[in-house]
Amino acid sequence: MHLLEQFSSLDKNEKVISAIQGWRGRAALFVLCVLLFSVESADLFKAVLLLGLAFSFAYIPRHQDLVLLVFTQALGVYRIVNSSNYFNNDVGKVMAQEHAVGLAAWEISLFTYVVYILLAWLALVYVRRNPQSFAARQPVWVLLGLALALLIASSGGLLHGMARVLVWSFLVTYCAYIWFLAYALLDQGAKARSPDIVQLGMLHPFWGSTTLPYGKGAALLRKARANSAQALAVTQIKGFKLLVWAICLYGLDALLSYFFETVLQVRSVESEISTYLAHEPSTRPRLILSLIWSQLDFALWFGLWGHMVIATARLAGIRLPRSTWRPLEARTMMDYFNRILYYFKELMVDLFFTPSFLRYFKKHPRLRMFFATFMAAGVGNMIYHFLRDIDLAAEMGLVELFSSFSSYAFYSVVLACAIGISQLRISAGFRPSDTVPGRIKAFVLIWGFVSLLQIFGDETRSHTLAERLQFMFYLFGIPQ
Amino acid sequence: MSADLHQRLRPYVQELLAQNMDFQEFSDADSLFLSGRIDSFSLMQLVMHLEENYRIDFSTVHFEAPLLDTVADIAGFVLEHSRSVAM
Repeated sequence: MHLLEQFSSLDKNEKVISAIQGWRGRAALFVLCVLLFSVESADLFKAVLLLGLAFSFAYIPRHQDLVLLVFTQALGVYRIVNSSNYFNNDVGKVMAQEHAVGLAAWEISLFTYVVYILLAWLALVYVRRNPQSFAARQPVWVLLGLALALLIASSGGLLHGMARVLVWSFLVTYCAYIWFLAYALLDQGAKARSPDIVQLGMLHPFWGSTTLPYGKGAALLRKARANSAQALAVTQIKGFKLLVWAICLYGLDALLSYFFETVLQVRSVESEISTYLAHEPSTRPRLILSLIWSQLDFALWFGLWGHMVIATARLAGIRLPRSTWRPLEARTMMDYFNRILYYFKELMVDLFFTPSFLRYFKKHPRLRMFFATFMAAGVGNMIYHFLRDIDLAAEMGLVELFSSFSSYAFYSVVLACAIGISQLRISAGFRPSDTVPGRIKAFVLIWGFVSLLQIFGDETRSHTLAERLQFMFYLFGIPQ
Repeated sequence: MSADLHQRLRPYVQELLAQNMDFQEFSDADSLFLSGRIDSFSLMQLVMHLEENYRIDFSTVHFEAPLLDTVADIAGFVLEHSRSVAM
C-alpha cells in the first residue's frame, strides 16, 4: 500500500521531478518507457521510434511548431511507404477490382496523401481569408458533403479504372483525417489561432490517434504545452504513470480474456446472435455473460489504447487530459460517455453539440439541450462510425453499405435518447445519490444499459437490425 | 468591478462543480474545463446562465471552451461581450 501511494504521488515528489530534469533521469525514463510500451505493442522498434519522437519533441522547445509538423508528416509518410498503413490495404482492394496495374498501392496512397495535405492547407487559407463564406461558417457540414460526394463518385459506378482508384484512395485518406481537419478549420476563426504548420502538424499528430483526434486540435495544444522545465518533468512523470496503468490494464484484459473465453467459454455477441438465428440459442445466463464481457472488453481496450496515446503525448510534454477516467464511477449516462471516451465525446460536443446548442431552440431550454445532445450522441455518433468504416464500401457497394448500418444507427438513436433524458433530469434538478446504495444503483443501471446496447453496437455488420431485435426479445423472454 | 464580477460568478461555478460531485476549493485562476472539473454539459449550462443573466449573444461570438476555462476567463469574457453588466 505504501509503495502504491509512493507511486501515485510520483509527480509530486521533488526529488524525482528534479532527477527527470537531468540527462541521467531522462535516459532512465526513456528506457523504462520503451520497455513498458513494447510490452503492449510487442514491437521494440515501434516503441523506440514513437517515444524517440516524443522525447525529442519535448527537448526541442525552440522550434516545436516546426518539429511537430516534421514529425507528424514524416511518420505519416513512413507508415504509407512501409505498408503499415491501412490506406494501402483499402486501396489494394479497389486496385484489384479495377485490375489496375503498374503502380503499387503504397505509391497511390502516398500520392493522394500528399495531395490531401496540400488541399487541407489550401482549405485553411481559404477559410481564413473568407470568414463569411459557407465553408468558414459551417466547415463540418461542408467536409461531410464532400465525403458523400467522394463516396458516390468512387462507389456509385460513376468511375472506373485508375480514376476510380485515385478517387477511392483520396476518399479513404480524407475520411481518416476528416475530424482533424474539422478542428483545424474551426480554429481559423479563433483570435489566438495557431499557425498553419501547427494545424498541419495536428493532422494525426505523431503521438498517435485513430480516426479520432486524441488531443483534439491546435486550440487545446496552445493551452496544453508544458511551459517550463518543471512542468515538463511533471507532465512526463504523469505520462510514465499512465503508461504503467495502461500495461496493468493490458494484463487485466489478458487475464479476463482467459477467464471469460477459455474458462467460461463465453462467446462474442455476434457468435451468440448467429447461433440463436441457427435455432441453437445459448442459455440466457450465458447470453448475459456474453454481453457483460463484450462491454468490459470494449471498456478495457478503449482505456488501454487511449492511455498509450495520451501517455506518449505527455512524454512529449503535452499536458493532455486522460481519454478514460474511472468509468466504473459514472453516475449518469453523460458522465459515462465523458469518462469512457473523453476525446470522442469532446469531438461530438465540439462539432455537433455546441453549434446546435448555440443556434437552435434558444427560447426552449429543455428542447435546446435535448436537441443538441441528440445531434452529438445520435447524429454525430452515426456519422463518425459510418465514415470510420468507409472502407467497407469497396466490398459492399453503396446500397449494402447504408442498409447494413441500420443496426448501428438504431444503437446511436437509443444511446442519444438515453443521454438526452439523463441530461433533462439533471436540468430539472436531479442529482445522483452519493450514498453507497445510490452508487451501486447508478453502476448497475448504466453498465447494464450499455451492456445491453452491445447487441446493436457491434460493428461487424453481420446481422440485420431485425435479427438483433429478435435476439433481444429472446433474451428477455418476449414471445415473437 | 472585475473583482465584484468574480464574486458574482463564483457561486454559480461552485454549483456546476457540485453537480459533478466536486466540492474542492478553486481559485479564480484554476482551470475548470480543460482540467476536466467541468464537463461540456455543465459548460453549456454556464452558457445559458451567461445568456440569461448577462445578455450575451453567443451566436455572434466565435465560441470555444477555453474561453471560459477559469473564473477569471469567464469574467473577462462577460466584460467583453455582455450588454448588461455594469462596467
